[in-house]
Parts: sequence; structure tokens; C-alpha cells
Amino acid sequence: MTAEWRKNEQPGALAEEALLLVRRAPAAAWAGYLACSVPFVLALLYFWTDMSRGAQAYERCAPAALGLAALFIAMKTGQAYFTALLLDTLAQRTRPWSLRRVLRMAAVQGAMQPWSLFVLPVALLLLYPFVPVHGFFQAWTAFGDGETANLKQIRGRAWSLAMQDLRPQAFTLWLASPWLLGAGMAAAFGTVRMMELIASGGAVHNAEWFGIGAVLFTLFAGLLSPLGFALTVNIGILFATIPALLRIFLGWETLFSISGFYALTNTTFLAALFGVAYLCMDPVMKAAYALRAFRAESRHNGRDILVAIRDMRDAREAAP
Amino acid sequence: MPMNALRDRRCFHHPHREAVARCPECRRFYCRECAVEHDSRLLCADCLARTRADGTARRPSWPWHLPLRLLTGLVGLWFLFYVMGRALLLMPTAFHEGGRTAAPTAETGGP
Repeated sequence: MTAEWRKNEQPGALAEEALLLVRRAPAAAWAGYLACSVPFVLALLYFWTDMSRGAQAYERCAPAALGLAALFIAMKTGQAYFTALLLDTLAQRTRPWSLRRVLRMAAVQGAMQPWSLFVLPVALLLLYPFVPVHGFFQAWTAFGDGETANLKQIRGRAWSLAMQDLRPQAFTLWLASPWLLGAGMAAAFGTVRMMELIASGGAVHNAEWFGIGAVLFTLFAGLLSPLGFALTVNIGILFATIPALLRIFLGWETLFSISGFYALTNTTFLAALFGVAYLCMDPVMKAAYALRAFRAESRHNGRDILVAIRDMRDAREAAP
Repeated sequence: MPMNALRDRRCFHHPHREAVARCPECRRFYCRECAVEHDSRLLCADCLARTRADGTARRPSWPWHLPLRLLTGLVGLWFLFYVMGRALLLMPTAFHEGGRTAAPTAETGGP
């Protein structure tokens, strides 16, 4: 084992390198990621708002759920494309893309990723298996890039990667996983609602409930996902400030500026916060698993050595 | 592979070299240079080439069960989102709207 490998075993090194890789991601990767992920997040927000407020929403529930399911698979396909391009960036290679490969990638992702929404919440409740199970689905995104449709082979490689180096995986997950942020937000919100029910309303003022909620959110989300917590607070301040600025400078009254305090305490606002935070945090997780997949592949084909030699040659040629 | 099985064994291609691995495909013994790691297994070069050739020739680009699995995943997701939607519908408005449950009164600092 070389010194480079030992360095990479430090828990923080993987997250740090993932952030650097995200900054190096090509424009095509971002285009693919956002084009497939943003529609799902927007559709989920619309679905959430409609189901929580729409008078005739129950009539639309089944078709809307089907549309959401299709958009989820499209999102996972876009994320697999993003990860494949990150892998190509690391390996300094270009692989051809065809419609057939994209369809194969969508089928491979659609065959496994839907089950992540069933399995991951259970694994999160049990705590211990969450790291490898989460790692398995991330590795599936990396390996299910449409090069092969052999699910058994992809499963074997993904599971092998998920079971290696659990400590750096756990640290990256703690730092950048939207799942832990979502768990923290849900725990804080659920606790406040339960306290409200116990107090049976009227005894405590709304602003005090908001304060209690903020403290609980800091406690739960701050502990479970520190990066996600900081990100969510920033996005929340942005969301709360924009309507006020529009009203002050342009005189535009929006639903948010009219609602005032109530705009911040409903479930749709929290879902919107989580949706934007997810779009910011998930690429870092994808980059972390692209790095891990590249290193695992390099143990077999020595690609990292070839890349290092090419970098050295380029640096020597560029030197005066 | 127990060490006893490798003791006194020689490479199939290089009889003067001691064996370090046994190919799980052809069951022959090989030295350090003849054994290759592939898919977490130590194979000899001939079996590796045969495995790759078989894999390329036999592997269908679309396994028959893949569309079925995709459809199962889609139906599973549909069910999950449908249940989520129904749960959201069942929740009272007060749950979604937050602080409205505690309407301000004269006692709690309201008008």
C-alpha cells in the first residue's frame, strides 16, 4: 500500500477530494444532472403542495404518483450520466455515448434505484447497516453507466465497493448526505408538531413554537448533517429575504411577503428547503463515489498510474 | 487455498518456478507471473481470455429480465408515491400550516 493510498484512507480526504472533483466536473455533466434532477424536485414540490392543500387532489393522486415515479428514474439516469462523466474526467478518457447506452443506463438504474427509497429509511432506523447500504446504491449509480446490462456483475462490484473503507464512507455520508439532513429536519419538525398537539394550541405563541423548532432543527440537523444544516440555513435566509427585498425595492407583494411568518412554518417551505439542499449536496456524494469507483477499478487495470504518468509527461512538456 | 496444497507445486508454464496460485477454472498451478487477478479471482491467462471471450459472445445487450425489473421498480415507486400522497391528504391542514394551530388570543399576546 503506497503513501497515497494511506492518505486517502483519512476520513476527511475523500470528502475534500470529492469537492475538488465537483469543481472540475465538465459542463455536459452538470447539464445532464440538472436537466434530469430539477424536474423531479419541482414535481415533488408540486405534488407535496397539491396533496397537502388541493381540494380535489385525491383524484389526481394516482396519475401524479406515476409521473413522479417516472421522473425519479429519469433523475437517477441523469445522476448516473453525471457520475460516468466524472469517472471519465478522472481517467482522462472519452467514452462514446449512444441512445442505446442511455436507454440501457436508464433501465439498469430503474431496475435498482427505486428500492433505495424502501430500503434506506429502514437502514437509517437501524443505523448500523446504513453506511454500506447507502454506499451500495451510490456505487450502483457509478457502475450502472450503460456499458453493461449485466445486473449480477454490477451488483457484485457495487457491493464490493460498498463494503470497503467504511470509515471514510461514514464520514463523507455524515458531511454530505441529504438523507441525514432529511432525517434531522423530519425529527425536528415531528417533535415540534407533537409538542404542539400535547400543548393543544393557544398556550404558546406562534413565534415561540418557531423558536423551539429552530432550536430543535439546530440540534438534530446540526448533529446529523453539519454541512447540510449550514446549507439549509443559508437557503432559508435567502428564501425569506427575497420576498422582503422585492417588496421594499420594487413594491411587489408576493404570497410569501403577505403570509409573513406563516410562510416559514409550513411543510411546503421545509420541502423546498430540502429540495434545494439536495441538489447542492448530492453531486458531492456522486463525486465521492466516482472517486472510490475509479480507485477500485485502478486496482485491477492500473489506470491511476497511467493518469499520473500522463500528468507528469504533460507537466514536463509544459515546463519552459 | 491452503498452503499445503501449494507446497512443492511448480508453475504449469515454468517448471523451475514455484507455484503461488491455483486457477479455479482449469485447476492448474501457476507462478506469480502467470496468474492474473480478475473480478477478485486469480485466473491463468488462458482462462482469463476464455472468460472474456465467453462474456462478450454470450452476454446479451438486453437481458430478458431487465425490462421486467424496470417495470417492477416503476410500479414499486408508483405505490410508494401514491401512499405518500394519500398520507399527505389524510393529514389535517393544521399539520401543514404550522403555527396556525396556536391562533393568537388575548391571553397569548394576540389582539
